[in-house]
Amino acid sequence: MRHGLCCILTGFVLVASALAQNIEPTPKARVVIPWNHFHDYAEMTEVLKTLERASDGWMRLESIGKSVEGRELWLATIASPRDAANATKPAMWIDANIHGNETQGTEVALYTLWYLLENRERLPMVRELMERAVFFVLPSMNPDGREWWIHGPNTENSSRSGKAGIDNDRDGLVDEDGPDDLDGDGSITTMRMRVARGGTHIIDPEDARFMKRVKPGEEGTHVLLGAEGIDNDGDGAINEDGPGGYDMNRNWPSDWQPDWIQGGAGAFPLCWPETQAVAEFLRAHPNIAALQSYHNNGGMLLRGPGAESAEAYSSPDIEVFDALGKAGEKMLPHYRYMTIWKDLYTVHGGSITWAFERLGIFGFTNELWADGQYGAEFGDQESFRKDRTLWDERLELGRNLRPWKAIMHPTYGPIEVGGFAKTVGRVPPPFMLEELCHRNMAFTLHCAAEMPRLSAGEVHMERVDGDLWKLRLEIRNAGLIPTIADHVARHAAVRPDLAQIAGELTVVSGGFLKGPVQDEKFVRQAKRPERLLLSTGVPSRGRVTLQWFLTGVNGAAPKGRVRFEALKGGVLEVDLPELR
Amino acid sequence: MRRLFLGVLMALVGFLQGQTPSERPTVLVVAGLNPDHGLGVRVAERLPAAVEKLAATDAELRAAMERVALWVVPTLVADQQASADAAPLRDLRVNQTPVDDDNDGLVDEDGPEDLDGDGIIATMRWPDPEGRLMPSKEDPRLMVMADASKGERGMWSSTTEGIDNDGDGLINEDGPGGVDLDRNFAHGWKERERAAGLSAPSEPATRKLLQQVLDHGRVAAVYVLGHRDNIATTWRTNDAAGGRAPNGVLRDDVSWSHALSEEMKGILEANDGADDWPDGGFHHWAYGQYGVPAFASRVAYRPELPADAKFAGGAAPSTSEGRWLWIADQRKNGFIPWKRIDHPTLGSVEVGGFVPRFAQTVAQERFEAIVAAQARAVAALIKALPELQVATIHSRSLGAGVFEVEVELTTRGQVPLFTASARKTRVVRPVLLELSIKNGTLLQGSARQLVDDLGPNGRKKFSWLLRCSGTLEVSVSAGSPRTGSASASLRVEGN
Repeated sequence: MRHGLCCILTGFVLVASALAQNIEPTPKARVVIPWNHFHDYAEMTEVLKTLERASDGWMRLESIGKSVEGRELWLATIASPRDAANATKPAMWIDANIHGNETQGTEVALYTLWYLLENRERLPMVRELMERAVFFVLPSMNPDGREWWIHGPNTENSSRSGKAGIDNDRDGLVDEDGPDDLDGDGSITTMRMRVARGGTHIIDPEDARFMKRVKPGEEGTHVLLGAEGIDNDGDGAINEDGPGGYDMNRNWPSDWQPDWIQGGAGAFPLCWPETQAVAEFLRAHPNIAALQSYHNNGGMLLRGPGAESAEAYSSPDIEVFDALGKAGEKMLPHYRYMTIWKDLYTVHGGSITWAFERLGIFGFTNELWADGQYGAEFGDQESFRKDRTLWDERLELGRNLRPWKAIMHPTYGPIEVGGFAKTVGRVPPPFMLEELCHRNMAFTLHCAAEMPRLSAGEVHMERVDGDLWKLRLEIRNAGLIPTIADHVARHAAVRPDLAQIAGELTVVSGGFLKGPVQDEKFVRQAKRPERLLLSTGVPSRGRVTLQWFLTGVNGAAPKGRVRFEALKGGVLEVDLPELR
Repeated sequence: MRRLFLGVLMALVGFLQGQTPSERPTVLVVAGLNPDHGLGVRVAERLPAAVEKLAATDAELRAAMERVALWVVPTLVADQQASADAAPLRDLRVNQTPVDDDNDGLVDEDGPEDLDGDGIIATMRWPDPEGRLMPSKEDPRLMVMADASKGERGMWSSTTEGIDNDGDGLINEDGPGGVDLDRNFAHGWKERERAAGLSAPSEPATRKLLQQVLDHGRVAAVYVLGHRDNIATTWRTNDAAGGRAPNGVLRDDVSWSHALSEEMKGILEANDGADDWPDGGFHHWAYGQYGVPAFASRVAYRPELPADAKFAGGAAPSTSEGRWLWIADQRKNGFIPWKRIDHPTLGSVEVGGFVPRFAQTVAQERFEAIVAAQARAVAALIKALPELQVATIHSRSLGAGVFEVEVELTTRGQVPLFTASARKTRVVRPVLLELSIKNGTLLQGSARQLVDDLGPNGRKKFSWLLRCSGTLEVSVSAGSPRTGSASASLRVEGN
């Protein structure tokens, strides 16, 4: 009796605490991670391991390779534990930080893992997505470049490269003359020097923290000497051969062009361990149906083609990109949906264009953080500088703008260094990082939710006459993303969807139809109709109808099963109806 | 001479162990990119000794070989050669990487079969109202494409010997393998063709070769023995739009490339030339992206026919295929007479046609002649390589202890120091020109400068201003790993 009472009381307590959780406005996170912080390699590794440990088997961490300097390329997989269907479920790939200085994407990727795991039990929408899809998340594709940007002296724009040595100035020495942090503040700012004659700049009368170029004919008081640095190799040039010097997002096999056409492309496609490892993973997982790559900056949702000379995308594919891109614009204020070559610049050998054009994966590159988020209008450089300066003063209390500091330069003599640090411009201020993470994650989850969602409609089987039967089965795709993109269907680059029928039956004839049913428009497959090849897949929010003419065994009705396999839509099995 | 042979032996061993050969500018010879060109492999293996033998009687070659090395990679498909040469005899361009050639979700499921049991995968032909082939007017044993504009109708189809293993209506559309290694390089790479590989390069053998060439840094010319050929025909001239990868030889490279090509064509008695559009071949990459002279030879050129050669039917052979058929008739092998057999799906077909690799089947005497000729072609390439020289060095006193030092760099050799392709692609290292002064200071000019162009005439002057109050002693050195180096020095007694 008392035992039972204890159970009831325990039950009440448990239910009460669960209810308390549900009504608690901001429940305490199981894993607490500061979202106003850029994680370096060690911290990122620690976060990933902690998330895996706390994930109840929903996250698995592995390394898919090593970077040039030997760091792991961590890949986190989010999938229902011990579900045999994981290998065929539609999967979403997320990567970030292929460019070393494009830092905040890693936090978005970590945030995505954390948010999914935190809310799996709490939010039915999250649980449902995690059960029917798989997520492959690579938080940093360039951990060497990332570490270098975070801990090494850089500007907001340097360095996007990995750390393999490149002889940029072709003098036989490798990486011998990079920037130097002369004042030891962790950023590469600008050098200025006071001159008696020949000055090109004066101190800006409106704001003494900045320099203003003089008009032609006027005498200035200073010259600007470029980015902080010295002539390390004594060749007369400063900072002409820094660490690395290539662009891993020009190293992919589609429309790859050599360095003289596409700077930074590398000696040949996939020549670096990082790009090679990722390409092998993507090829080995043909169930990846959607992709998200995080870069900075500019506030953009980018899709291919990467070059005007590359083949244009077709209407059905563009409609999918348009729908997702426009949804993204609504979720990400200040972000614009754009086509790479037309609205941005030409990119040969980019990752997302290869993934779409050869692997059929619908993917976006998000350029995180828009100038407009500083409250700036897209005006001229000077008004942007003023907006950014006000922002720095009033909202960040001087965190980013370094005052001019006197130092002694080995060749120039007494100079000053100062200017905006690497912490402003391309990366968000820490207090806005979490919002950036959440909104971009939400866009990604929206795309993931629109991956193919296949279901079978009703099976219709009827006797034609005698022992001949006709079987019709609809396969529907509720997802916006088709099982096979038109681009790869036209180039036969991806395996067709397969519709196989087997059992106590003989197939006399078979075929399929896309869209509304019209008997005469069925595409008949002349050979091996028991294994139909649907090279165009199941369309966006559409359906295909399969039709077979069958006989059963010994005059009985055909018995058996249809198995439909879409590489990016999973597997459906449908039994033939039991008929006499 | 022994040094050369040992150097090359080390080179052969070096390739297997991932080491790089000698320190000199190097001519790289590659064969065995395809498993069915064993003749190229056998010739490549004999080349070092054959070139050495030539050098014994050719002083110019001997001198060139004091500063240029020869690196021979006889095959990239050693692990596949035995199975490729095993029966049945067949054409085989691709390696053993499994490839779903027909994109049906099944891999390597429909390859050829030796239906008539003669140990050869020959050709099958059958009457087909939708066919595009017809018997040739030269000889009805040859099948040629019908020309609709001339009112011709093809009523035949053909394919390699075999059956429809996977029941999809196609025959031999997805055989064993693979990737064609000589289409797996980035210049002109055909992204959408599965036999070209998933990337350029995608195969371990090609990736390794490429990485070795780039790491070596001294390859100054490439020579390929295999199915490709740009000697029997003149190199096509680039007509790609500016800013696009070239599809032929650049205009400023036409004169040396045509001259060398003509010379080799004569040496090799090369004939039956065809267009050589860049499509991922190793020699395409070597010129188009690496920027060095790159030649490819089919090795087994067709012997010339007597002027009165005729077929039994009275027609004279007028096409390359026709001429080979005439040769096959003389040799009484090389062409299998068409013989009817029953085919499981096509009904009645005929099996016959050229024996695969027929052109490569040569008598020992002819093989020796081929080796000797290929050695002379490689020798021509070695001798044509640029030799960097400091032609002149002199000084002029300008008073007040100031001197102008002037140096003229020249290059000797048919091939310029930097081809137009090398200057465009900027992959090969430039020449480093260094001035060192014993007791003085440099007033004007750079102590170290990079040079990648000696102008159209292959000579260029460089000058510096120095100040020296005693005896002027300067020395100049110019060089790069790929070009070798030259130096000169100057001494002027004090004032």
